[in-house]
Amino acid sequence: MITTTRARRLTAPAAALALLALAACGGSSTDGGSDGGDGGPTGTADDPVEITFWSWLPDIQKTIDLFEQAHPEIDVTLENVGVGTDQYTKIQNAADAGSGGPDVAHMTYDAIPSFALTGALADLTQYGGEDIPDTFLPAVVGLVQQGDAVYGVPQDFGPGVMYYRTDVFEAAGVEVPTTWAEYATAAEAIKASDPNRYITYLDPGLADAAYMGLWQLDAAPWTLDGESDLALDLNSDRALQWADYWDGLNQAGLTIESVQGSDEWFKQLGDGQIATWVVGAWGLQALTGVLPQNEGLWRVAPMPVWDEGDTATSQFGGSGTVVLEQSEHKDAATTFALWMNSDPTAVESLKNDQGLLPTTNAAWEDPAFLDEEIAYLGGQQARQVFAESARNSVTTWRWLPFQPYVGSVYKDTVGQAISGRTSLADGFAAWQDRVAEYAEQQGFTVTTD
Amino acid sequence: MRVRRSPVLTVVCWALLGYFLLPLVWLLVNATKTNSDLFSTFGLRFGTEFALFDNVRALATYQDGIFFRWFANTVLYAVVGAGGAAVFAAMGGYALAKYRFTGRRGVLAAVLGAAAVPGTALAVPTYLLFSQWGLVNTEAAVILPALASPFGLFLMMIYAQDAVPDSLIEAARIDGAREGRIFWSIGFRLLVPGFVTVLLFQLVATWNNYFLPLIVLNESDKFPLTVGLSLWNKLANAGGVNLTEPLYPLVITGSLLAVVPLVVAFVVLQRYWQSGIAAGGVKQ
Repeated sequence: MITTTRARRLTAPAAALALLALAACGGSSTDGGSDGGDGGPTGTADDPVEITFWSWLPDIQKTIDLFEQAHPEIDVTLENVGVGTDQYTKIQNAADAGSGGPDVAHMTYDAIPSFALTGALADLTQYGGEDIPDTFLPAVVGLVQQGDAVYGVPQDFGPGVMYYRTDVFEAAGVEVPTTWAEYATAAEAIKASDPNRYITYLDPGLADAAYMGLWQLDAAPWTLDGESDLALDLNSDRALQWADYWDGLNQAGLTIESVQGSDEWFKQLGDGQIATWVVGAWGLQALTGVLPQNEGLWRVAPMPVWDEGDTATSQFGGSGTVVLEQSEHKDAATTFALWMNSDPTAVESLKNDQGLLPTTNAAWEDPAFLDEEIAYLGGQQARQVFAESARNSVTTWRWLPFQPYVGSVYKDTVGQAISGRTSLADGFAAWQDRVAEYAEQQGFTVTTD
Repeated sequence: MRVRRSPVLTVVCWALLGYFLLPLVWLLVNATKTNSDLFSTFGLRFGTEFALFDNVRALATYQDGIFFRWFANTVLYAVVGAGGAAVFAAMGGYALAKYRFTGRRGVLAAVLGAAAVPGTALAVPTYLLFSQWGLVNTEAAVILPALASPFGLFLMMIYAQDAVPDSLIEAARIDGAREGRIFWSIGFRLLVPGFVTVLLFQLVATWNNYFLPLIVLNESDKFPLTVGLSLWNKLANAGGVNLTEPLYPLVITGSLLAVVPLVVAFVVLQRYWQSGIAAGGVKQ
């Protein structure tokens, strides 16, 4: 019986992908129900419009309560139906069935294009969201926009930074690196100070690490022209620059293989076995929450750059709020999604109650927010670092309409190379082949270099 | 007959016992730890403080005690689902074994075929079907599929062929008993060991069922333990999520509490099993 359960668990993401694939190649069933500009009725305080919101943020109800005070004509019911792919599977099922989905949903940026492509998401510019590109940071607007259409309201994001252990760097007697070359030198010093210590970890299943690296290099590993012409370039010089760099550290045994988010990995962070974590700014939440005993030991620094004088950074993670095309209350849903992520009261709540990094231009101009000293980081004004990274984030990065598939084969290709300590460049070549094969099956016209 | 002990087999048995108990021991030990002990002390040794009761208390209060709501849901799904499935399997198996009717072979073929299809493959079609019937996000969507157990039916049929002698049924018929009466008063009682086997199998399967409730339920109030605990675990892993309470101790303590009813069910029900196995070995 145990094996049955295991098999089912493993198949859940696979089934989700199969569904996405089906939806991507056939005509989508949701298009038929589109009702043009009719965004549904406007409610009153006595007879409010009822909308459903799916989100896995544990305390989001607090922000919703504030919304209902400000907008008594809209009644929001919150449901937490699953984290990430679990929720997406449900949304895809509901889109296929034509009903059963929520009006509004929390969705990570990488998933938004796939649902937009199959017609599951509403274009918010038709329902009152035309100012989204001006209200939010340029670093995130590109992640929810496709042409003139906007498929989500940015909620939070993960400007790339480097968290590091001060005690480990002190013990090794090495400066905190600002470039990737210095990072490699520091890796050797740390290993030399204690053979059980590593500059960082490599997670064979974490495609986000590669995305983050390619994004910083502006490597543009995939470019979608129109709706079906896809240029793949995972073997470009820039992509190989990233691959070869990590290849070097990996083969020299300067990194440890570990699964980000696993309890073992947290233990390695907590013990100082892993000295740096290059990640979206949200990493601070995870450290504070899981490793309170490490308070004062961690600091944040800008993500290392490739050449002295460079400033380009990238992002890791982040999510927006989307409205489903099948919703009968798209006006009310858009009002809610916009308010929750841009109203000053809501932004305060996102910061304080949810621990999220807001994405509005206004929030990042507020000195009180930027200058706050973070106790966990020894009183560091960490948001200054976040803000700098947000300003310098490369804005040309785009997610593919089948990004979940791209991420899922990372483990079988690049991940294999990481685990086997073989050439990451070969891993990238295999990755590109798998992505190209899949994209062609989905009806894309694929060109590769 | 003299019983001979094989030292090799004994060692193998002890090794297997250790192998199977290890995860349970880990669970038991780590359910007593605080969050910081979880990440700073050795996995199989107790932590610096004994926090099991604190963890249970946190479990009872986190999100208004939704964990025990999930617990109750799981009990409902498992008892109704497994109980129903075992009763249906006993009735169906008895009928297939003891009656000769048109289409019997067809039914048998369909059952064997159904047993060969993994439940996972049927989950999405099941969702679309339930969506048409308006059953998505209802308890029935979890319970209805659990009521059908092709394997249980097949097992009961094989069991009924030997466990219920035809002569007993004939005797009852001569005494004027109707078929329903014969089944419930004679057939079913003889089938109890097989029934318990199917019940246990189904109980474990429904208790652990993950994928079906995951896709058909849209409200956390209706989740079973599997989906709820997995949700917490993913939240804990997600990072970047503002957690008012460290979730790992809750997930681990919750998992420990979640396996207790299954252990109890096995301990309570296994004596029916043993008597059945013994009964089958004796010529009456």
